[in-house]
Amino acid sequence: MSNALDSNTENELNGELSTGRSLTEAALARFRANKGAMAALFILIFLILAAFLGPYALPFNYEDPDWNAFKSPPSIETGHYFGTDQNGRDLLARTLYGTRVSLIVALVATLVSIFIGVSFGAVAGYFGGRLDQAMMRFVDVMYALPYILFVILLMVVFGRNVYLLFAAIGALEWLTMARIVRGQTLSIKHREFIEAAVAAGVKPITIVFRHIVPNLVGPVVIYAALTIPEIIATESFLSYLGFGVQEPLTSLGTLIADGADVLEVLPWLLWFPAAILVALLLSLLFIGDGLRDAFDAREH
Amino acid sequence: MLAYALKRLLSTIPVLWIAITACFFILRLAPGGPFDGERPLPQAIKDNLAAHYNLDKPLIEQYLIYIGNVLKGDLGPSFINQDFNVAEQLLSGLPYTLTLGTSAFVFAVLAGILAGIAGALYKNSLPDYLLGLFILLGLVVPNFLVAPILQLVFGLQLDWLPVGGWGDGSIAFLVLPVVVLALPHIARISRLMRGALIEVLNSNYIRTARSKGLSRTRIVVRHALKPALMPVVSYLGPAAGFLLTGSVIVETIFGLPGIGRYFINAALNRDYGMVLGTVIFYMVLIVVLNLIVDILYAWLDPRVRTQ
Amino acid sequence: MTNPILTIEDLTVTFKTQEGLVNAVNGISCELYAGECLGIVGESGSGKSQTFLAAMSLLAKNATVSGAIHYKGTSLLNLNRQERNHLLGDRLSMIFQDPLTSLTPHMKVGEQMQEVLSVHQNMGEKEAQQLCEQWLYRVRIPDAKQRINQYPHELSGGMRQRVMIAMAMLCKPDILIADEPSTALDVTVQADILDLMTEFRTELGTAIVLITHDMGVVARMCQRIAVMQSGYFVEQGTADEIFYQPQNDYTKMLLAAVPRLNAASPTPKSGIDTSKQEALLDARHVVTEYKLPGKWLKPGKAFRAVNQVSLTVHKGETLGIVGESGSGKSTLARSLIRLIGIADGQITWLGKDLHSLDAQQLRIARSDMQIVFQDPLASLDPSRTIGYSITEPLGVHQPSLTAADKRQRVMDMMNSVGLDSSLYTRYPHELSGGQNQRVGIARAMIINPKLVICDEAVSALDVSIQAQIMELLKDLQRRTGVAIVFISHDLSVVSHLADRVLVMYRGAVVELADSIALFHNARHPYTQQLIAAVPIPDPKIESQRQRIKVNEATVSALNPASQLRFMPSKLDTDPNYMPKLIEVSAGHWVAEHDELKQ
Repeated sequence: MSNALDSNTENELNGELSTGRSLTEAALARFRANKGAMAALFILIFLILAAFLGPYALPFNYEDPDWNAFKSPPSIETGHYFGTDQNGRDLLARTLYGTRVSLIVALVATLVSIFIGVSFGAVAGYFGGRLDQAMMRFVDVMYALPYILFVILLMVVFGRNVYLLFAAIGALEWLTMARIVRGQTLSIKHREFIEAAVAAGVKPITIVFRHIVPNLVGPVVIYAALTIPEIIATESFLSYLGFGVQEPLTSLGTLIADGADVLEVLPWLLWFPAAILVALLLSLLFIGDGLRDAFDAREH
Repeated sequence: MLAYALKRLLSTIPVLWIAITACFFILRLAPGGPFDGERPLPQAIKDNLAAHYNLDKPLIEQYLIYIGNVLKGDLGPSFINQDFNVAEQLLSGLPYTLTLGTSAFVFAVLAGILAGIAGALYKNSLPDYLLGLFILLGLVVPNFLVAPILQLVFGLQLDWLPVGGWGDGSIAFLVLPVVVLALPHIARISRLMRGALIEVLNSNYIRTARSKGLSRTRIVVRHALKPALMPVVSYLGPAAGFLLTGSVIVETIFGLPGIGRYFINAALNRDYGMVLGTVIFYMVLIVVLNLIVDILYAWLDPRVRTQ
Repeated sequence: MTNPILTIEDLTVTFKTQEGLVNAVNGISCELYAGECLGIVGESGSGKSQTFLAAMSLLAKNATVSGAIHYKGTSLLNLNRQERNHLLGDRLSMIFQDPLTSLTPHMKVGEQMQEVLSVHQNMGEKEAQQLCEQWLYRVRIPDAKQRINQYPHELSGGMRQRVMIAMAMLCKPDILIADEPSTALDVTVQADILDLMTEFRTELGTAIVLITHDMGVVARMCQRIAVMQSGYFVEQGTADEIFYQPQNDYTKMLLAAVPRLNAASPTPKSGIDTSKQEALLDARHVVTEYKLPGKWLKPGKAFRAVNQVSLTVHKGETLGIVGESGSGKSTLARSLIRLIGIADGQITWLGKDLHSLDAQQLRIARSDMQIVFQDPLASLDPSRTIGYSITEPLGVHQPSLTAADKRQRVMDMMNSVGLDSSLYTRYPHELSGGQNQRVGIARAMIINPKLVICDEAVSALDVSIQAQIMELLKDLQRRTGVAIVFISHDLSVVSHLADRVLVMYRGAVVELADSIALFHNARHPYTQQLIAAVPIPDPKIESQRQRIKVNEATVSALNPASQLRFMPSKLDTDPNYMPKLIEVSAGHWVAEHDELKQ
């Protein structure tokens, strides 16, 4: 009664691959198999390339008027594919520029929120006890606040500074990240493989970096992907109200605000930036959902 | 149950206190002030103004005076509009904001829950796919984009509804603002509801209920609905907050004389007193709404109560 | 025999999954007669539950069913929803493995029971309430009048399952399908639940289908048995036929793999006379406490998970620790190797006070003491390869080894625990439970420890795998002379491995003796009750066994008086009294207790 059955039933796998696939690799493979998410990824890459490289390929820049074309509708002959605004500025150049600003704000703010959220959550979760309780109580308090009003308050107080905007949004978007990371840290900390490492004599700091941090990657990536569209939406919201990016700089929110005013007469000024914003948010949403599905399937 | 409500009520006090304190000091520590207009005022007038608004006292004293006043319900004077103090301005805007917010909230909750239930019960059928599309659009199209489009279509081209303003306060003036405000929340709530109901319907206790020979309607209504509502309910607290901030933009776009518009004007004009007052006012509203949601949650889940 | 009340003919259940079609049940046929108990035995994934979920139309949506199931001539598979609902809960009812998740959390148990009566018998609320109360008494729930207004989470696991049974029996069904009804429960509670089911079968003539992985439970309960493997009935017959003349190889293998309490062999397992061996680990009056969450500003009370436990582990021996859930056995295990701190007492490891070593000394001490956990998957870091996990202790304790040396050592170790070396670069989620447990053992053994603690190390595994892992542990012990502390809730498993056995109840030791003395001559009423409750995979023995019932645990484990459950005479005079251990014969220690009233 030794290993007879074992070798039959359990070693079926052995014949196939010689190297294993980590959970992250498996998740990415699942992500690649998700057609919607991959299409969204391509759209996002296209938008990013267009926003960062496009302006170099255009004959117009975002602030100089074309004296020959004021309020010109989209046309191929004039070279203003998206038309121009009341000041004769090329809308395509402005939209690309605005997209770039929105993307940079989103990226910086997301990094800020990851940095604060992960450190805060990991510390609370790993050390636990009273410290954890105090830290999480703080997060609860922050949650109860109307955070957009806070951002507006900050913008009012410290002037409309784009860098401050990044920081302010990021500094206020980290709450959920902190909760997720703390929860995950807590659950990992109580998993038996951590005890096994302790029993093996592995040092605490090594445990944190070798066994806890790598297992946080999944949730952090998923949540970061879902944070980016939220930040883009927040930024355009603030810009729309006049608290965000200021003239002559522009962002998608500012462009939409300007376009909305003249929707009846110069409709393209709204439609193009709006379409880009929606495409951007939609593709990010699909990617976020795809990542979540890919990583969450790990239990099976 | 009463004890639980009371306990939750007490726990909101430190939240409010911390928030008010934070706002107060952010504003006071800021460079510049409300009287740094384009034309510099003579120093004497500045000093007078400062004395009038207690700005000449030490910061801590100002803070204590302010907290004391807030406790008495006095949010202090507006720095720009000398005719009305902050509380008076807020009260004059309150009915509009409340009408708008409550209508949108009720509409969003009802529509969201019903759509979510329909989506879960007819999973992977045409209505569910249509719902999915709607949810997607609701999630990504910002309300400052929906608003002008709806204004153009229903207000200008079809001429069915007024484009903005409060008019005589009739329902027609409310329709567009309420819809714009509610749309993203309908999307979120129906998504939550659909997901939760599908999960609950796959749970062990629903299997037990089916094994007892209960009808489908009975299973959904008696066994599945309450637990499936829990994620929705826990979203309602934050949703109330989002609705209030959303009303800022909707009031601005539709030109409604609510608190949100006062807030934007005050913020643009650096009316510190007004901004601070509005934020505090909003926070009280949000904290109270969260409290109601928590109590609702405890009612839905007996496990929370006994903890 | 009369006509069968349920016939299953050529039933096939297929699931449509992302990986393609999966056949869960492959054309099985069987019959169920009134008043009998039919056992369906099989390991996990054999399709035993799916068969009867199909009969109840409770399968997941992606399942397709073919074949026929008839209840008294009615084809169950062809009924419309209304006709089916008429039968379910009335004529056929079912109970499930996990009584917590199987009851609706936000409804009072009374409400959930009453609706069965209102739907099937149109009974008014008052009448229904009375009847439900009677049924709760009948399934022996104390204070039924109060319990009926409680929510499921306010009841213990055993009580929930009683509620499930009462609810299933309300309409006196012809057939009760029980899907692993006692698997999640402690062995003494399991005995009560099984007795209840037998009682209803004999008194009301309810036919029972008992789906289980446990041969002992089947031997106790069933007249006829079907053995299931990967969707097929490999063998069907009467209990005697299956147990005494099994025809099929798989049946034989299952029977051979089942650990038997009664077969505890008289030879010491490790072949070691413990009295002559030096002590590795010596624990004196160890107390381990957990802080309970406080309320408001009051600090929480401490809960004694381990209360005044003393034990010695000798070189090369196997010490079994047995107890039900909440007995503190896992906490004790972790305290013994200082994974958690102790509140009082002393633990001596090779002559040194373990809990006062500094970090460096502790690390050195740890190279000789290792632990294997219950859940094989949870005990391996999901983001690391198998090879990495096994190598890690080596890296800590023998840093001078070269990478190639380490790899060779790991490969050798994998080989000796029966793992193919090609698994070196695999991840835990790609391996089976049995394989992962071998990895856990390899990781523990790689640094040649003197002591390995196995905390429920085989409990999560199917019996055939369980038997292999136990074999492996014995084999490793023979080869390396490692001492093992083997912790389990399963007495049969412990009886197979342990030289000496320690029985715990609510944090304290109630009996400690060598294996044979303990299983053949238990002195403490709790041990006796525990042994009597273990089902033995032998129908003849089972039919003649006597159940032992001791007064039920009535006070919460947080109450110090719970220690006096077996010594109620002290309750009035000294409620904080802690029963002392008394040596009744050489090496046989028993906690003080009152005489057992039979």
